[in-house]
Amino acid sequence: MPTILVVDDDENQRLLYRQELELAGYTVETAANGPQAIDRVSRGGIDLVVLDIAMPGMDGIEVLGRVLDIDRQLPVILNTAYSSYKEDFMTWAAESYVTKSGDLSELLNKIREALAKRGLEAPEEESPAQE
Amino acid sequence: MNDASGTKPAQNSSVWKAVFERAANAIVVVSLETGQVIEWNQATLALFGYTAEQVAGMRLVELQPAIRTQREALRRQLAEAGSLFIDSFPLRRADGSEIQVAIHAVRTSYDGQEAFLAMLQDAAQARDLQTRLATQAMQLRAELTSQADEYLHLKEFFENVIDALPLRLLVLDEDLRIIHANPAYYLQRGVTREQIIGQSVRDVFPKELLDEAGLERALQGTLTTGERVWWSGFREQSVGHPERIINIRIDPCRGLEGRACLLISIEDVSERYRQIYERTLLQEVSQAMLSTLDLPRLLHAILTGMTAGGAVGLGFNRAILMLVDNAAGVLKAEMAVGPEDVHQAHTIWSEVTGRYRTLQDFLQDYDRLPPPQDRPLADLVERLVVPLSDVEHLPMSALVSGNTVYVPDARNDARVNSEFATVMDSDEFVVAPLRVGETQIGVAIADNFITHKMIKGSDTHLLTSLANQAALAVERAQLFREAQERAEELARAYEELKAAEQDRLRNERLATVGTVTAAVTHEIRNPLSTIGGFARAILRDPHDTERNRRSAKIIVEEADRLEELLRTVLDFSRPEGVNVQRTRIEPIVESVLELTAEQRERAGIDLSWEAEPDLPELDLDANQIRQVLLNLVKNADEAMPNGGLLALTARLAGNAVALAVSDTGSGIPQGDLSFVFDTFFTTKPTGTGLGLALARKILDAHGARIEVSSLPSQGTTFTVYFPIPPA
Repeated sequence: MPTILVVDDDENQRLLYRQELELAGYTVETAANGPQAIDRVSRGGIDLVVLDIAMPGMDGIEVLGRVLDIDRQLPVILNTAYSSYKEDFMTWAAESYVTKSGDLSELLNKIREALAKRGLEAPEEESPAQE
Repeated sequence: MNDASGTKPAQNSSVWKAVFERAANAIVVVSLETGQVIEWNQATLALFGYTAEQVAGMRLVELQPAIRTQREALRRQLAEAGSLFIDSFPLRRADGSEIQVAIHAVRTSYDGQEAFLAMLQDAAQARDLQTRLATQAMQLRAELTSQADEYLHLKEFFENVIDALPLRLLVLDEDLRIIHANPAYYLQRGVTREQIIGQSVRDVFPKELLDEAGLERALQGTLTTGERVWWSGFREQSVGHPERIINIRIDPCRGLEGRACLLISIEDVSERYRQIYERTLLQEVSQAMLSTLDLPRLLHAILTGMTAGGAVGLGFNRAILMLVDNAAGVLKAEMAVGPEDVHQAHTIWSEVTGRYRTLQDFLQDYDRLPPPQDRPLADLVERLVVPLSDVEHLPMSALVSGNTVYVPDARNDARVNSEFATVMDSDEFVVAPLRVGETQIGVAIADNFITHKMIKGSDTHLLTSLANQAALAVERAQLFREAQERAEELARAYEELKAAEQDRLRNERLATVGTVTAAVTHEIRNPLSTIGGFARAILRDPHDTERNRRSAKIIVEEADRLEELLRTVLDFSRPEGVNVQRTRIEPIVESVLELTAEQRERAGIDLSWEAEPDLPELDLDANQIRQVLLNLVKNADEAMPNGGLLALTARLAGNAVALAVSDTGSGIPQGDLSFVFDTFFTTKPTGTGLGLALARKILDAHGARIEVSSLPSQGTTFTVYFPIPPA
């Protein structure tokens, strides 16, 4: 059961991702800011990071760099309200880039793809749509 | 009594003895009985040339043998008449010489005997005296005659002098009737000497002088006390003559038979006053000029100097200053002083001369005078313009040549610009140039439009001096004004810069709106995605009530967040594109008025809406403009909670249609006016501060301009200028 770390300063967003990703069969952990996220990654056991960019204090771009410093292979999916960050070359280091939406299927697809690339089985969950 | 009479003869005799001894004439007493000399005095000895011893006891015949033949005749004459007189008797002296003497003899008694007393006088001496007396008398007579002649000549001379005196002289008798008047007096009154003599002073002097000024009282006073009275500075007005300043002097005098009379001398000192005034005037004008840099005030000072005075000043009826306007290429009347007609002349002159003693006084009062547009001759000032290029004619020729020009008959004077003459509407005037070195400032023009008093050479001369002074002062004031204008220009430029800076700031703020909008996207997308996500979850499993309640709670929270965002920010950046169509503004205005009619009815606000007919169509986004007008009309209505008048007008204003929305509310404080279009600026308790900012943004997008003006407690007017699109 892959473990996903969701990093977002918005509490309701964290609640939404936890609920939906758990429903999709993943183990979900959350961090409310950059330092928390880095701390969690450095302790190991994280298979994928879903990272918000606009956060007070340390922003997502910086967190991305620090996380990759710890584990170059760890897939990080940038999940943000902006599309303009795609032009920031730092974001190229990310596994993929998702624009935030109420429809989480794109995010779930990207997660599955990233885990599959690394030989990690996506959990056999009931598809949300089917429910 | 007896004692007194007893002592008298002795006293008398010693007195007589003394007189007798000291007498200048020779006196001898001769006894008639013996013919002997009984008594003689010192003068006798001197006359006869004898000593006292020789004389004593001599007989008269021994003394004077010549008398022998006449002795009996003389004795008889003495006896009969008691006295005798011989006017020439050859007297023999001791040395044998003879002198002619006159003899007076009287009978007397001496120590009880008959005697006679003879008094002898040197006849030559007597004759001499007589001749001298006669000569003196003749001389005296001659002298008297020549003196009489001289007196007559003198009398004539003095009469001539008196007649020729510029003084007006009158002699009055005790009844204050004229007994003499010199030609200066009666000619000035236009009558003959005969007509004036015998008239009472009451017939010839005006009542004001006699009663009010107290001349009659003074005349009576001089008659009784004999004191001289001297009055100066009377104003004398008579029909057909300019006002004069006179001095009056009353002297007591003695006339025929020593009767009291009065000499009245009247001196016309107008000219002297005038000279003093001229000097003072020039001094005052230059002082006044130095004291002010304010051009209108200065010009008025100069013009007042030219017209003030009446009897003693320059006293021109009208004075006009024309100044060079290089930008317009004309010499143009700047200000004029004077009455429009005779009636006004009287009012103004009596007021000015009555109230102001000096020009300085007048200038101090200047601020309280009516403002320039109410001053007379505004029409003349408006029309008096000549091109600078017309150097051949007056008034330009005077300015160019630097000479004062006197024009006696403007309408027939080829030197005068004919248009100028027509506007002046005056035959006789003076034009004095205002120049500082080579710099041409303008001209001063003066005339006697009302009284037609002839302009004298001295007037022209004084006007020239005044114009010279004025030129300096005007140049100074003009330089000052120029400097001031530059300063104002700078200040204006600064204000414009400031406005531009404010504009820039506003634009920047609007530009920031873009940035803000981008930033806000984040704030919107988060709640939206949260809402979407949880909504989907609810849809997916409608039975999981516990989870759904939690989801719904989150959705409500996020929806609130979004509403808050909308309220504060989204409004601000709403109008993006403008969808314009050629349309008339009137229906848009009317639809807004319809929408807001109810509120006005509730507040008791009257409505007035006027549109100029045939206004051109405009390129408008009707919806957005409706929004703008709604905002303006609502603001106006809200400014009048207790009723008032909402007035809308639409009219042509150059290449724009001006739509004005006015209220009669409390107005916007001056300090707030520049902020009303700023975002988030509001004075209303429930306002968002976005209405006018949005309006401005919409109007900017239309290329339209909005202006606001407001007067405290009178109301506010917003005016929108919509550009008229090319046809």
